[in-house]
Amino acid sequence: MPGGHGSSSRHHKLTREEELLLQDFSRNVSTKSSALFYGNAMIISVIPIWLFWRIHQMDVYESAILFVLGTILSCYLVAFAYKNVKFVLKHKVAQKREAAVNMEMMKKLAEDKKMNKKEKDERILWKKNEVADYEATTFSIFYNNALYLTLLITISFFMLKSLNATLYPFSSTSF
Amino acid sequence: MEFVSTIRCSASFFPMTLIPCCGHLETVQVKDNELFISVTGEETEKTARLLSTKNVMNQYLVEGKDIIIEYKIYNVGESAATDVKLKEEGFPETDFTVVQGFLDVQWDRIAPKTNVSHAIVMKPLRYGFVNFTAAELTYLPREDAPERLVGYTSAPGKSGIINQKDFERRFSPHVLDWLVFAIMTLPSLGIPYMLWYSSKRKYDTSVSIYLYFYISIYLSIYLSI
Repeated sequence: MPGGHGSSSRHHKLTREEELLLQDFSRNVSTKSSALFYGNAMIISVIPIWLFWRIHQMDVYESAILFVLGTILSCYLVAFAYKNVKFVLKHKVAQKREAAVNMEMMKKLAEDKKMNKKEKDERILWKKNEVADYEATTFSIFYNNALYLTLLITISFFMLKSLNATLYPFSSTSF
Repeated sequence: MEFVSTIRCSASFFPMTLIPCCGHLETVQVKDNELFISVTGEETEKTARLLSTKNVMNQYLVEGKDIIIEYKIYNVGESAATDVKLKEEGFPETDFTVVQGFLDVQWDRIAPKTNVSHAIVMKPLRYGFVNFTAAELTYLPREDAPERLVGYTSAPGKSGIINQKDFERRFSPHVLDWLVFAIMTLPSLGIPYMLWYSSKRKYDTSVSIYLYFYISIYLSIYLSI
């Protein structure tokens, strides 16, 4: 049936507004955001090596494999946390900023008489999405970094306290 | 003619080695944290009698960190001890290095009822158990004595030297390390926060709305009064 085929193809073609809405509700992040997340995650995952090396007195060469595996794993987990927190925050931010973005965009687009209401709404929606995305991304990075470092410092001290309970790890031989 | 001599000194220096002297040790008593040693013997001549202690002054003995060893010699006799020599052979060069002081010391004279002290600073080169043995003390009990008397100080005994890494981990404040750590974490926390806050400040009107609301209420109340 050609009519049916035509209607289905027409149904699959999404408008810019629909694409924006889908993007808004999608968990997937853009390549740019993903690169930003993994870059930040890598930086924050490498920092603890200093803590373990200098403060906990762990040998870098002896624990090299542990450090590398730990860094890779924490890098992936932190990046995953960034995405999840961003997804949750984006909608909350979009709701909070809606009125302010509307006001700002209305002022900007007030002079433009050529633009119709649909185009204006699309532009406002795009701006709202951009603001929400930006704020959610930056806050997600800040929040996860702070949480990761706090947990890492706390857990590392408690774990190492239980692992190195003895103060006198003497050799069995006497002088 | 026989005599009874009572030596009185602080009990905190016990155990000590009584250097051989003329006479016999009768009693050793501790009263009110003071040590009383009674010696009987022939009162033919007055001689010097030395008591000596060796103490490690540090609370923790750490590999590569200075340890202080203090020696105290008490002359509890009736005469001056002359040509007093202290010889320390309990610190092998393979395990310890001398930071300050001398392992062999000499005093020309130690007057009766007085004491002298000597300290050395050593650095342990490796960690493990170490047995702090007694140092040797030789002296002339009187100026015209035909032979030297040989005695020993008290021995601190077995002690453990802690691994430097473990000590640092447990006790070092790591101020500089924490400072570097803080500097390293600051951009990761500061930059995202500043970027988020700048956007929030630009678009978050809730604070200004509430402020406007409260000011308007306050003004209306004030004007009505």
